[in-house]
Amino acid sequence: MESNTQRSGEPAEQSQDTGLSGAKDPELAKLSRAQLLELNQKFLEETGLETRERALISQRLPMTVLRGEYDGAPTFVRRIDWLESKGYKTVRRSRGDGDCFYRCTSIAFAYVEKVLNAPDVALAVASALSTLEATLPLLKAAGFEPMVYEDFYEVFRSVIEQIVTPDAATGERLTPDILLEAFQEPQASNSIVVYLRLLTSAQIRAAEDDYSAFLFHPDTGEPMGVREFCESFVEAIGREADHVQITALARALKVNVRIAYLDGRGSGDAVEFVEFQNRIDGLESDSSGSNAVVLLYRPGHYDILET
Amino acid sequence: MNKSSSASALRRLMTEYKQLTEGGSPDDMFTAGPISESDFFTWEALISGPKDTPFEGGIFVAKLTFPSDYPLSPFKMKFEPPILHPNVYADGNVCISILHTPGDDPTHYEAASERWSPVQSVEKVILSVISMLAEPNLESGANIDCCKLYRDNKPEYERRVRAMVREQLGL
Repeated sequence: MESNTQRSGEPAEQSQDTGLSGAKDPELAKLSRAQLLELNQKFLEETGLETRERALISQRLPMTVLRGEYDGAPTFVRRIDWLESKGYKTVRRSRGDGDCFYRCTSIAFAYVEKVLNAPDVALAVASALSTLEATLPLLKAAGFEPMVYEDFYEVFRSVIEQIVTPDAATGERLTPDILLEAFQEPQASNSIVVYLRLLTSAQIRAAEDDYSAFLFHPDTGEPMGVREFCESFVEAIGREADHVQITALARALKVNVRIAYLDGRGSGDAVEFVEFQNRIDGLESDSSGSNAVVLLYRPGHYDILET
Repeated sequence: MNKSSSASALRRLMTEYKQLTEGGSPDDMFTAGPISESDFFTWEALISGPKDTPFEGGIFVAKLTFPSDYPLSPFKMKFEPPILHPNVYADGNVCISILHTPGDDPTHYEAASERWSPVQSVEKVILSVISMLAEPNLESGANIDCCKLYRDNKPEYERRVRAMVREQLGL
């Protein structure tokens, strides 16, 4: 944790990973970046996010649960209310283990759930499977040995396939409960996380020119080479994802991602969204007219927002 | 699900073993494989001391122990008998960043140092250990006395390593 002598208004050294430097809200501006992080950290500790006991992905929880965690921080409470007024009625929390982005986004949980709830399930599944299959050559081109990714790919593929084709062992199709169970089970959940990390890395390596200008060491801010960045901050388990990784994974999976930043940026009661737009077929739109996977970001952590 | 987890670990270990036996290691620096056909989760590695180091001429035996969720989690590596080296604990356990996940950081490795991910393999780890034999990492020492000796009196460190090599060879 940073020293808490840093005053508000001073440029934060690593503004890109917290987005706190631009806080204009008077109430939040009174808090230093260190205090904001501390507030979040305290919340994470109180709610047990820092322990290994929390489920990898939770049941849907009403927004009041989230609200209750920000007792004494009216700006945050107002922003949570604003999210709710925009139709986001529930949140699914993920364990704060550095893998939460991969676990909840894109395909991992929220995406599979989107496919599961698509108006034309068969089309959505076929489309997801074909997108997924098309990622294999990308991994190969990045130099990964099939031995490294095949089993993880298979875990992911079979979860999506199970939406329409009953599992050979259990004879059951994927239901929301089975999906949640699968993602709460560390082996399956972590296998999918690993596949998405490898895919993200392969996407960055394949389109090096698109990404190389944006690769910085998250702690020192020094520019990094593609290979070094991918090995240290994409492939390695437990390393949190930032914009570069999110952009790359959203592209590789052809998925739209919207992230609500509840981190003190911006002003007023509105929550700032960042969009990662890609084409996607056959998925339902939510009340905001978007078919994106929606995540809630708080410094150092991603959860899923649902309508 | 535990059953399927060790099934996938087993598949991966058999693939790695097959590749090692078919391809061999660069310059025959090491061999590695399961101690017994009935247990693929415990391997033995024989590592030649790298040339132009005090370890030259020695053959070092290490036991590799794989978890049931390998390669999601890394394996453990222990020299048996233990060897004298700044990054090897007195009991023989090897302390190297590549065998640790980013969250698991017993010795405060530099942030940029290589960590475990399923992309790593037995071969890559052993090659890292061989280069560690040649160039100890004093920033993340495991055997503090040995780190000190290496820093303060390198000739004496080298003499003791050579003596250990001779002793292990029964000379």
